[in-house]
Amino acid sequence: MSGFRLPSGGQIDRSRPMRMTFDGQEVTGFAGDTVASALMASGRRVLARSFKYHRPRGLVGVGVDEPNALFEVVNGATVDPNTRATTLELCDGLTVRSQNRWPSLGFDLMSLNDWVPGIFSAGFYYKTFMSLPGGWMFYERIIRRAAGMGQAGRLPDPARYDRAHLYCDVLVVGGGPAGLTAALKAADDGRDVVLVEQDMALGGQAQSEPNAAPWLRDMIARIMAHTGITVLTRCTAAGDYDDRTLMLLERLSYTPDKGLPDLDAPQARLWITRADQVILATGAMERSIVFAGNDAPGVMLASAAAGYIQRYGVAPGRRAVLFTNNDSAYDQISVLQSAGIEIAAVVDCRPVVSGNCAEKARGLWLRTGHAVTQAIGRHALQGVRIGRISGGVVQGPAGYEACDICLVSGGWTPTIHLSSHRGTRPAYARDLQAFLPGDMDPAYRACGAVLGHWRRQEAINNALEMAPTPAQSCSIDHMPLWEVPAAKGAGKAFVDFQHDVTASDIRLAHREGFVSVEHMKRYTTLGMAGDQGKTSNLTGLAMMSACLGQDLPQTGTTTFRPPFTPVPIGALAGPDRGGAHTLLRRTPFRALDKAAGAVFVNLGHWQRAWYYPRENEDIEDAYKREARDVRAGVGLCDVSTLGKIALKGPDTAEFLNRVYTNGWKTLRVGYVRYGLMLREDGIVMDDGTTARLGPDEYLMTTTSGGAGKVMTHLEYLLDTQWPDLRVHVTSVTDQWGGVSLAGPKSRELLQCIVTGSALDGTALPHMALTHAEIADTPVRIYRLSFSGELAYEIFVPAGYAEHVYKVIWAAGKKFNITRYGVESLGTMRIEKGHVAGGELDGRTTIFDLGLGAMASSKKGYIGSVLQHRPGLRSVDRPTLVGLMPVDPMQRLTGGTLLYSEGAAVLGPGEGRVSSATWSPALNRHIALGLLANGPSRYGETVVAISAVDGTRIDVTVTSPHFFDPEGERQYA
Amino acid sequence: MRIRCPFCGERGLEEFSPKGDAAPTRPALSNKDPEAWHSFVHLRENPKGQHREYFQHSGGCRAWLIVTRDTRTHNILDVTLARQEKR
Ligand SMILES: [Zn+2]
Repeated sequence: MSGFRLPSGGQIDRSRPMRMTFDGQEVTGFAGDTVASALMASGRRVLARSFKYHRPRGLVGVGVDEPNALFEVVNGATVDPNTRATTLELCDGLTVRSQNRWPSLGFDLMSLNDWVPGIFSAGFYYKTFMSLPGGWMFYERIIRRAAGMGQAGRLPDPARYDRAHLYCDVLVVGGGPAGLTAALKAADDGRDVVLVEQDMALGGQAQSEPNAAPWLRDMIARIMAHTGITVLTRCTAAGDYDDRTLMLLERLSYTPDKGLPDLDAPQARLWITRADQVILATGAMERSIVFAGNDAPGVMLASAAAGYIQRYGVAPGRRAVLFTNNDSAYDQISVLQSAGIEIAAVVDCRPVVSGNCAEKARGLWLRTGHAVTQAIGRHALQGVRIGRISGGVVQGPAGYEACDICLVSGGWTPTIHLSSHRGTRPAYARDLQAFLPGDMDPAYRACGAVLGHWRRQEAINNALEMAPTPAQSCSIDHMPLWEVPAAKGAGKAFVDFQHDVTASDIRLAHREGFVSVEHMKRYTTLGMAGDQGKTSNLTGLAMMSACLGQDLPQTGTTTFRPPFTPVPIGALAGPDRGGAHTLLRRTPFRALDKAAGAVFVNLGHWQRAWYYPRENEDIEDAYKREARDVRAGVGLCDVSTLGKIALKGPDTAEFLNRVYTNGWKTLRVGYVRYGLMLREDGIVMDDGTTARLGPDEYLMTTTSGGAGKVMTHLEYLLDTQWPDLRVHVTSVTDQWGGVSLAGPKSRELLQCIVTGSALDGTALPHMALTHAEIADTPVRIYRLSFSGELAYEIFVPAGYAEHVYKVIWAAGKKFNITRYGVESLGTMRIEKGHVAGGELDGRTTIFDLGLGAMASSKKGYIGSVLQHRPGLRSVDRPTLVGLMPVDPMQRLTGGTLLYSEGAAVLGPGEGRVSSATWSPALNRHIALGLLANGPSRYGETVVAISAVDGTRIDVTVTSPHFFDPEGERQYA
Repeated sequence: MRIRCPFCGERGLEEFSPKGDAAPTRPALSNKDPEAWHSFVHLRENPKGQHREYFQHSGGCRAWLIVTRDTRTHNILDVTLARQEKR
């Protein structure tokens, strides 16, 4: 047993006990505890196994910098891995478990890794496995098991995450002495202030400071009472983005009051914050000193030990050795003594310390000019070896001091992460041995410890300045000491605890020729764990500089990227998941189709009727029947999803002439024309029809999926390329419901219900339109056909669409009308050889599709020149053909590749199957495809081979117009 | 990033769709020289510093804008209506 609960003290509420489970055992603590402080109070020392070597690890820090104590939080079936015990609040019913150990924390078989010399040293993976037979892929699986972090759950995250926007005049990041002061000052100046603090409580380092409580209480009271300040605790400023946009993550569950997450309430809230001014009062983190065995459970930061005592009323141990290179550690002496901790020695690498320090260490064994050279103990610290040190070199023979905790202070590192998220390079302050925020955007200001004003009063004074400036000199006397060189055989000395990177890894990287800090980082993986090297980056950099014999800033700095601490993917997604992830559009006939038993399919944003099964029918039965019934009688299909764009203005015909490949100047009022649009580079973009409704008024339809793209394209051209053209475009897709009425009986049916217009072949020929009424509702009737049958498209104002549909349906009863969905619609268009999505795939030209006759040579249009680039006109380009399996019952699938008979099955083949179906009209399987030299190969047999399952099917090349090639049915 | 749409005021970037460099000039439709079209469609400067780019206020008024942006800082220096400027 080592750590223990003190009889009094701390900011915990001892009247509210809380129970959690750790690796199946019950652990109790109080409201206000973290999981770390409760575990410390329970006497546990080993809380984790390290990443690669599986060494026993205990707590090093008290806050976000903790590299070791990462747990899986288990809640029902969900598991959140890599959760820091030091920031996870204790709450009733919490279940956590240790990770990366097997079978248990106390006895971990994988720790054998630690005894094999050379295993997992820098570059180990590359050197060992890249050259072995079987290669990396095989060994990777074994390595991943042996080296790792926690396991993520395999189920979808059931938690809800909220997203909100926040606007303020001043955003203050950090609720320590500087942040509190800056927030109060800005609010007193009449500014609207938001103060964010990642911790559960305000105060920052002042919470661990023995005499700061009265000041802190007063400040917090004033802040809370101020109407101009919004305080968000448990809220991390995780990222800083362009235009003073910050991402804040506020925790809403796992608190003593709220307990475990309630699935009906958000677990966390992502704030997208915009501030006129940002004040970074992010403070500083204590750094450690590297020495042999420095990862033994019990070696921790001096300030963390004080934090556990002051904040949680927990003592980390009973007998301490304090090891420091600076004055700040001496402030902790009285705190440790107040907790009854015996201080065995104060080891200071400086040859002389100030009288002030000597006074604070009065009565203790103060060993100046000394260093801790080695920690002894694997599962728990037993003691430390101490040696004389001078000029960074251990001089004298080692003494030994028994202790269960070794508290280390290597100085302070400003928390500059946010200041550099947008690319500002940190500035090195030699006197402080630290990087400070660089030259930031003028709307940003930093103050307090992040500028090197270490002590509370300094930080407060700095925050009160109009334009806070960095500390000019270091207020805490210190002597640089990053590492105590380890004696031979003394064991590993760790720089990055979370990624198990040792001092010798860094030197090995240097010996192997890595001179750039970025390369060294990647080779050793220093600072690349979940904590992004909060405790290790600077130390690693300093050691690399020492290897290179150059100054630290010459070696460089590392780049900080968001997020500061991990953000759940679910929080970034927020409410945009499941059905809310993407827009779902429904047509006006949705309710009728649903009542008719339609099965729906999502195509793009649209939910469309796929097929209408009758009793016992599956999709195969249903679409075949629907297609047969349409060709035999009449069918009704929802085509509301077609993109509809109204064009108006005297230059519309000229505009259409420029965007379509064919000519539009001759289209008469009352007629419709098919058109193809190309992209600027000559590839086909979309197809559709445009009707001339009046002299200056047109209505364009686009493919269902291409509507948005075409609309944007037209707007772009009119606004930026041809602003002189007098044309207005308006999207009216949602304003009109549309049905296609197709089949030999369609005219007869319509004649029963349409008034106000004649429908015979003379009055309404193919590709003409008329304005008429159905049951007192004005409708537009186009005579055009996608199915190849005599067919009409009827467009109705969306609000009346259901009404008209019902009238058509009722009148259709005596014609045996059928509903048909997109599946049979597709079947019929393949039978007719009409191109659609499978062919308009962004790779095909107008010539590839056999539609070269539509490429006008009399005018220029978008893509008209580039479509003739030699590569796009090469004769062996895959060109549209029909494909019929030699065995009519063999089914073809889109995406299958085409090869000449007997040719080697290599590469992409000579073409591909683009759309395939069973054809009820031909009573066989058919397909459309694109085949090199296609039209010259009619009659030839080629082989369709699936690259997925290897299936080979012999197919005969034919014309793509399988059914009624002369179009007699649609012109009827 | 925030863009000040001349019609709608300052709005978040998520409401806008970029289309890139506004500098290239479209050849006349009668121009049949593939090189001229290739250059217009494919060749782009990638300047460090000020860059004029098309953005559409696609989630708002749908106007096409010319946004002058500093590619080093993402600072928006100017926003105009493409229709006005191109006229
Ligand atoms: Zn706008």
